[in-house]
Amino acid sequence: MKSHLLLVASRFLSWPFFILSIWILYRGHNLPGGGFIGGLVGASGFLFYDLSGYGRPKQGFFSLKPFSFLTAGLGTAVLSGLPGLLAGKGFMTAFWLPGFKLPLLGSVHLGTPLVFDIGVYLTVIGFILLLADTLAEEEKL
Amino acid sequence: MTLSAPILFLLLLAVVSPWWVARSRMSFVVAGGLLHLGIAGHYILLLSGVAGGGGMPAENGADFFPTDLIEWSFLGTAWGLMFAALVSGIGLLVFLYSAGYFGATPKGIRFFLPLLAFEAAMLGVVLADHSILLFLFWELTSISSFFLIGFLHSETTSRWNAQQALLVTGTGGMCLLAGFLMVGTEWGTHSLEAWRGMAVAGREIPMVALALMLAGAATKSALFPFFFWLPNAMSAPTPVSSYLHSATMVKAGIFLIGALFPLFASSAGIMGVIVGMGAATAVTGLALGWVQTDLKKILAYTTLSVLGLLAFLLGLGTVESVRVAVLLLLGHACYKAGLFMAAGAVDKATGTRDLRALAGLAKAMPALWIVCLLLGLSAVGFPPLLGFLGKEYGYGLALPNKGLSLGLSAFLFLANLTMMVLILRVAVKPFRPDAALEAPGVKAIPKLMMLGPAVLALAGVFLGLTSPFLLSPMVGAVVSGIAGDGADYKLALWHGFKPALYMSVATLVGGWFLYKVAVTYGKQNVVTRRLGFAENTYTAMVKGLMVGAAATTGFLQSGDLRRYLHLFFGGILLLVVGNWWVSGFGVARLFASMEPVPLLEALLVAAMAFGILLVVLTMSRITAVLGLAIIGLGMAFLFARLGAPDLALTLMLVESLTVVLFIYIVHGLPKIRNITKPPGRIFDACLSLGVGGVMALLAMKAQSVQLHPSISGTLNEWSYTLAKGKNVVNVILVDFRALDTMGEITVIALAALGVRLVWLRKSEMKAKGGKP
Repeated sequence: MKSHLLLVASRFLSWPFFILSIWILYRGHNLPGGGFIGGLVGASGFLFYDLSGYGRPKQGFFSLKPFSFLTAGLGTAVLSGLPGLLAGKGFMTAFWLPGFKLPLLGSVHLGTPLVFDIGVYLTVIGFILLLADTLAEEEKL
Repeated sequence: MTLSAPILFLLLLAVVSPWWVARSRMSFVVAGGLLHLGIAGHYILLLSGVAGGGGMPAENGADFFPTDLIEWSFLGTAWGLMFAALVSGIGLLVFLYSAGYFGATPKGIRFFLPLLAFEAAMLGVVLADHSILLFLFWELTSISSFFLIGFLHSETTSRWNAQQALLVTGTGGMCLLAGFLMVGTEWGTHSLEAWRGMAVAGREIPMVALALMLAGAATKSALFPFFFWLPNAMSAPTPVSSYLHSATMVKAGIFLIGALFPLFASSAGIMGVIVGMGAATAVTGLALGWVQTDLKKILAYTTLSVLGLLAFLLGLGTVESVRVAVLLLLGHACYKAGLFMAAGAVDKATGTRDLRALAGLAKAMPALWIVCLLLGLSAVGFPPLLGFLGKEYGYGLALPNKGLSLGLSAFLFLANLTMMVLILRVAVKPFRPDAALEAPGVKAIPKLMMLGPAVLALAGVFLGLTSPFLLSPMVGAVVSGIAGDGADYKLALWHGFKPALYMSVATLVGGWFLYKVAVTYGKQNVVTRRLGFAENTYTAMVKGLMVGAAATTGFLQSGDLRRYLHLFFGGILLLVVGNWWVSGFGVARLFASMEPVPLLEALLVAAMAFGILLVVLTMSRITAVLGLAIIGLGMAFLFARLGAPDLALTLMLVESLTVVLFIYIVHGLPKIRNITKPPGRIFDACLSLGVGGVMALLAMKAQSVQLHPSISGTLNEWSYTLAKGKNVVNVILVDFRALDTMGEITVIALAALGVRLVWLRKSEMKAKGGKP
């Protein structure tokens, strides 16, 4: 069951969804959102291709494999904990850069919790994609 | 670090050994040998310091462990340092012997890791002053022994024997831990030195704790009725048998009895049990050894009987009997390790360890013959060798006011006589010509394999001859450390014409005569068959465990999804309702405090109820999934209404994605069928409603009870002040409880991998053409 219409639509929808997911990830610290929700939205961007029946592109960003996301996600999460460990304050102690202002985003705070959230985000994407891939192949069996 | 540094060095060497041996075997052997030499010398110096009247070296690294339950503290008692010297000294010889035994084979590469780890652990056992630390090392000896017994892991018997040793000594180890914890809690300290002092001062000890600690010692030292694992442990390579299962590890139980002597001695009943177990072990070992044909097995059974004698002597509890035990232990460690190594050399040279095939080796292996003769003479107690002291002093034991001396002497005499026959069979029989047997062909053996037995044979001569000067102060210090007296006793080789001397001579003559006439090996008799009961009991228990496990698994993991849900929900219902039944729940009060439900929320709940009916009643999977989505979305709206936008968002996304993912597989699923009959369905409905109702009540109860002050206010405040975030949910996830989230995403990744693996297996089976 392949739908050309959905394939074309996914080309238009996947990037906006992905950017939306990054925005959700970023705003999570102060407003509803965060890595988990962001990850789910980000994964939806990929799943449009799956829904079309043609599968994901062979090249480009949306061809990235689930295991890359899983590895990167867990790795990022662990890395975000190391500064605390190195500073002798215990694994995962939060560290923040001094806040600054950007034109579009307003005041910006960057710190290790955000890095950790990125890890969560990537892991969730990897998880959903791996499930989707497996189920898609299951269907072919 | 004077006491524990060698332990750390050995562990380090153990860890790097596989790489080092694989790269350059020679340099590893040289470096390891030198390290051992240094360690052995170190402990001998410390021991002579303590024997010379100096204070005991102590070490306390309180900060080593970040907890109060265990401390990195060591104390060099004379008893412990004597063991440390034996462990490292014989360790040196076994180390070199192993290098020769395995040569440049792949086995030799992985052998040193467990061996050196064992050595480190054993040193820890004998030097630790903190009971839990001792337990830690104690378990490490069991574990490394497991790997060494099962070293030839391709053989089923090796694996079985290794498991047997681990289960028996491991169970004992658990008892030991329980005993340690009981005494430690009762007395408020875990220091063994403090324990000894308190026991001497007459403080009462829980009887159960003593029994538990004795169980630990008895399993480790293979005392009756736990003796069976030790002979089976002979499936280990010979260096292991020589080291762990004769000279060191099996003596850990004896060590413990000595180390906690004042505690055990405070109870006459426990001491009586130790004496009884010891005597029974000695008799069992000799009776079973009497019919063995395998050199190593014979040695194992004589080891068993010596362990029994040691426990017996310690259990008697007088200064004199403790002295005999110490002398016997020293002599035994030297000659038995040597005899084991010699048996291994014979095995390597001729390819057999069977007594019935060995004779006339003296011509082809004259050096080994002399070494074996010296070791054997020490073992049978020939003056003036080291083994003589233990036997002579044993005969000299007269128990004052106990009326046991005649019976005791007869027991010792018979035990020594039998043991002598067994020793002669190992040390003499293979070498003497036999008219009925041709000498087997002999291959050259590595020189390193001769070093160990030769050094131990000479040590037996040297230590025996110099015992009045060299050993006296040390044995005195050890004995007074255990029994609190006897430090200034002088050892002597000659005691004049006394009954002990006559008995020694009678033993030697009688033993030689008996050796000549009693060719009993290879013939099972009624006694040996009866003694199989201990091991049979063990086997029956292990088999029973397996059968029980299979039955439980079969019942719980039936593969029927309905069964799982029945067990799971039924269990919840029973536990929760049962708990309410006992504690009184007060359902009525919960409803009394309910507030009226707003219309919008009531409508949402109604929609969700509709979704539930849809799921339960429909015969189409698509409809069922949509029904589930209705429930989920209804829930999401409720969350949103009640002020949890994050949850609402997440739930909505999850619901949508679930539907999307479900689309993939919906074609492949079978049609929904009614498998169960109406009565079963009614039962299922009741169970579901029951569990649902209980969960709802539980949720209401949780709302109405406040056990601890609520933390939400504090978290809200901290969220901004400490973590610079206004969304408290997110701050909890990524900052306050980040480690939990870390665990969760790890689980997510593992779940994904699991799904993948299940699928891979299925597709592989499909590719092979089998049924998935």
